This record gives sequence, structure tokens and C-alpha cells, in this order.
Amino acid sequence: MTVTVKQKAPRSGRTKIASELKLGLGILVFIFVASVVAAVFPPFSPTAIGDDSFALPGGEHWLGTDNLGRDTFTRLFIAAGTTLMISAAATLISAVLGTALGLIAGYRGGIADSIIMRGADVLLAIPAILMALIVRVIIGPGIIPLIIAMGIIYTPTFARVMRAPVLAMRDRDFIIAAQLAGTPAPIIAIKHMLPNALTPLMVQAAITASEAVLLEAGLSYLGQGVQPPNPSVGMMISEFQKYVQDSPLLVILPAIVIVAIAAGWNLIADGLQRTFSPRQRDTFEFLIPRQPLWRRMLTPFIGSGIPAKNSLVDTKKGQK
Amino acid sequence: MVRYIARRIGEAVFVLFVLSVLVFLMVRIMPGDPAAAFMDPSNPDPSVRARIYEQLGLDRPWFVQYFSWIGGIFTGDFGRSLTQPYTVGEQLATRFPVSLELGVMATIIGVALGIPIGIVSAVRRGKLADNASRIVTFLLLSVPPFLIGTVLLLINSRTTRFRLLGFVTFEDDPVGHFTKLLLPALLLSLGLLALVARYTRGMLLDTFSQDYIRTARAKGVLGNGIVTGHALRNAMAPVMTVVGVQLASLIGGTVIMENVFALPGMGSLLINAVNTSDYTTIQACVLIIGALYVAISLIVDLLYPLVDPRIRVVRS
Repeated sequence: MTVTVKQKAPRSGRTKIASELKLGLGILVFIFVASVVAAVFPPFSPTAIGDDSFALPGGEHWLGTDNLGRDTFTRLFIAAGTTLMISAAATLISAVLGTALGLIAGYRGGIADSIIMRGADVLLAIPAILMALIVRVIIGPGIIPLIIAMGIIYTPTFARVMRAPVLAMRDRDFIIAAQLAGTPAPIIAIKHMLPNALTPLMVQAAITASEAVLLEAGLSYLGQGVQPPNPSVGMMISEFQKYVQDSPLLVILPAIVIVAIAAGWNLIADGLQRTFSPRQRDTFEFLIPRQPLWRRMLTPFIGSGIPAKNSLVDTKKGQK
Repeated sequence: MVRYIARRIGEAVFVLFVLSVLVFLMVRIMPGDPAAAFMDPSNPDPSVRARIYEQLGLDRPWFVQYFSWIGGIFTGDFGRSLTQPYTVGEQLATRFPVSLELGVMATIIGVALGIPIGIVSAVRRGKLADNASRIVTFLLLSVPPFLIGTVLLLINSRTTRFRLLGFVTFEDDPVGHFTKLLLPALLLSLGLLALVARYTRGMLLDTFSQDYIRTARAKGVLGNGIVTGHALRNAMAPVMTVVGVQLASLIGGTVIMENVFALPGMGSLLINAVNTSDYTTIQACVLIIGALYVAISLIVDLLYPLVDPRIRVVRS
């Protein structure tokens, strides 16, 4: 008789993924899947006007219907998918542009550095919403102008985030070794410098995405973002305000979706920070300790029972 | 020190110049005809186009256009509105103070509440106050202020029925003037408040673990003395940076908040103008809101050396 024992991989060597990261990813994946369902296999057409207005959730319409009898689930999650897509696309564009510019500025230094960083200062001095409105005036409202405007406006932040670690790395031995080996500068920048600055880059990307969500919602609320007949979460809130008596859900559901998407990105930012540079602590650290769930839920009210580490200003003992 | 101030002012002027060029080009690089919005597409009226072009100054060479436009702005002449029977300057004169007040109030509220919340959170780390403030500040970063405003207004309209919307001038009713601005300003400040509280907490916890704090403890400086006398000052410089960076979105937020609360500021003017393709008004609003931000961030930067003396040495 042979017994095979499956051994677990030793935990100590692996990076412990912060629970914020899992939670944030979970929220966004859920919304993404729901929006794919709404977009690809919609239970109802998002624009079809039905004769059953203000239907309550359940049965045929999972989340009810709006004033025109349109299906809320379909519209809400197509809108959520649009928001998610805009935030991801704007972040991707600005991250790629900003990283490239930051690498060039930090590695080349000199005149390239001055030009890029002064340009970044100028762009940073223009509030994002103004840039979005400028682009909207030039090429009209819609999803593409939003992505372009946000792509421009968030680029300088990434350039700044990238430049600082590159400057610090420039004179390190492994970079000099690569230079002496004759590695071309772009390869050094991408292969040796970029991976060492990935954590701040990813954290910034998640923060940027959450800002993009809020900006898109605000612009759409004002009617300057996503245009009808495309559903948008911000537009739904401004449109359904007047029906709040008939169906409060029509305002509450979009509100929850906006907050969930923005919170999802913010959780990812906090989680990445805590997973890869653990010195910075905890958003929801107190929710995770190895204690039973009922005890954890009480933590915000009665404390964790675990004395805070390194607390120099401990009010309970030692201070007279 | 003088050099630092001079350089910072020079940068601000440069930023304003670039913004003005951008705003100037906005109407010029539009694909299509800027006058299209004012004409019947099936039966274009050349006299309307001529009037729009003349009002936008499009009938002259580019650099002449720019200098006459920017020169006009220095003398307070922003041109005439394309859609309304008034000059843009008149509108700005009544609307700019509202936005300025809103922005300044929100900045003060955000900093004045954010720093103490961050301090309490750091000092009472892991305790109830800290956990509560961490949850609240996290949520504030994820909830758009216009959403809180809308929900409050909706709840108010069903229950307490306070008169939250609209605006009264300072001359008519000084108390009512401030109370009407208070809620929008508070909502506007929430994002700044949350970031300032988070950074203050993080920076303080960082400084608490530094050697010189341990030295101060060893010398016998008591709990609160360490925070106020030693740690806080060193933690403040990065917090100021956050304030400076976050101001852009705060000033941008006035555009949205004025529309939610029906305040007659630049933001509501701007959105109306965008909806009616009133380009002269759009240009003026974007430029002035941008200038407002540049001015406030300049002031924040000039306050830096007061907070952290090391910056005086490094920068000048």
C-alpha cells in the first residue's frame, strides 16, 4: 500500500496577496461578467421601450424597469461595462505614454528631462474636467473623446511616478553593468528599469482608473459624457432623480454600481501597495486577522484585541 | 528664497500661457464649422456665419487673433456671448466670486478637517477611531461628491424640506449666503479631506518610527508633545503636496457641484455654454477656472517653506 502525500508549497516563500486586492478584483470581475452578459446575451434590448414601466425587480425583469419600461439590468450593466471600459482604456493609454516619457526623462536626463517634466507640470495644472470639456468641444461628446481627454490628462502623473525610481536606479551597478555590456538604452529601460518600478506604476494605474470612473460619472451626470441612447450610470442618476418617488431603485442601483466600480479600483490600489511594499499598512487590515468572523465584525467597534505594534504614542500604558 | 518665489511665479505664468493657447486653439482646430451650430443646415445663412466669425475673431490672421483676444482679456474684455445678449465679462463679474468662494471654502474645510482626522487616526492606531476614519475616508474616495449631493437633496425633498438649493448674495443676506454655500463646499471638500487624512496618518506613522522620535521619547517628551512638537511638522510637507495635487480635481469639482446645487457660478455658466456652443463663454470660463486653480496652487506652494524649513535650503 502506498500513501501519496501531497505537500503544500511552503507559504513563507510566496507573496501573501492582500485581501483588499482580492476583494477589489472580485468586485470588478463580477461587474465585468455581468456587463458581458448584459451586452452579449441581453435578456432584453437596452433601448426597447416596453409597456411595463416602473416594474419591480424579480420575475421577468431581474432589476425592474424604468419610466419607459426598459429593462434596468440590461441598461445598468451595459452602462457599468462602458464605465469600466473607459476607465481601463484611459488608464492604459496614459500609463503607456506616461511610462515611456518617464523612462526617457529619468534615463536620458538633461534637456529631454526638462522638456518632458515641464510639459507634465503644465498638463497637471489643468483640471481634468476642463480638459475633458475642451476635447468635448473640439471633437464632440461621446466615449472616444472621453478616453482621449483622460488619456492626455493622466499621462503626466505616470511620467512623474516612473521618473523618480529611474533616477534613483541610473547609477546602480546592475544598470552600469548592462551599459558596459553594450545593451541599447531602450532595452535597459524596459528590461532592467521598468520591472523595478512596477509596484508604484500599478498602484498609480489603479488610482487613476478610480479617478476616471468618478470623472466619467460626473461628466455623464452633466450630460457631457456618454451620450444617449447609450446608457451611462451618471446619466441614469440625473435622469431618474425625478422618478425617485415611483421607483427609488432607479437611482439607488446606479449609485451602488458607480461606488462599487470606484471602490473596486481603490481596493486594488491599496491591495497592490500592501502586497508588494508591505511597509505601507492596511486599509482594512483589521478585517482580516485570524479570528472568527463574528469577532472580526465587532473589531471596528471594540478593537481587535491585538495591541498595536510599534505604537510609540500608546495612550494606555507608559504615559503619565 | 526670492529665487524660489520668482521661479514659482514664472512657472505659473507659463502654465497660464499654455492654457490660453489651448483654449484659443480649441475653436480653431475643430473639424467642421464653428458657426454650424447657429445655422439651419439645409439653408445656411452667410450673414449668421459672418457674425459668428467676426465675434470669434476668425476673420483675421491667427497670431493677430491670439494677441487681440489675450489683450482683450487683460483689459477685462472677454468678447460677447454668441447666444445671449450680454458680454462675457459681465457674466464673469457676477459668477467668478461664487466659484472662488466655493473653492476656497472647500479647500479650508478639507484641510481643517482632514489633518486632525489623520492625527487622531495615527495616534489611536488600530483603535475604534482609526478604523472608523479609515473606512470613511476610503468610502469618500470612491463616492463621487455629486452623488452624495443628489442623494441628500432627494432625501431632503421628501423629509426635512430645508431650502438647500439656490443662492443668495452676501448683500441680501450674509448669513443665508454662507449657509447656502456650506453644504456644497463641504461635499466638494470630501475628496480632499479623505486624501489629506490618509496621508497625514501614513506620514505620521512613518515619522513615529524614526530615530529622532525615539530620542524625543527617551528625553521624556510626552505623547502629545511628540505629535505636535516633533512628528507633525515633518509629516506636513508631503501632505501639502497632496493638497496641491488634489486642488485640481477640487476646482474641477466646482463645475459639477454648482450644477447639482443650482449655484450661479462659473461651472454652471460653462456647462450651459457647452450645451449651446457659446464658444466665447466657454473660452473665458475654461481660462478663468484654470487660472483660479493655478493661483491657489501657487499660494499653496509659496506656503511650503513655512511648513518645512528644509525646502528653503534645498530649493533656493
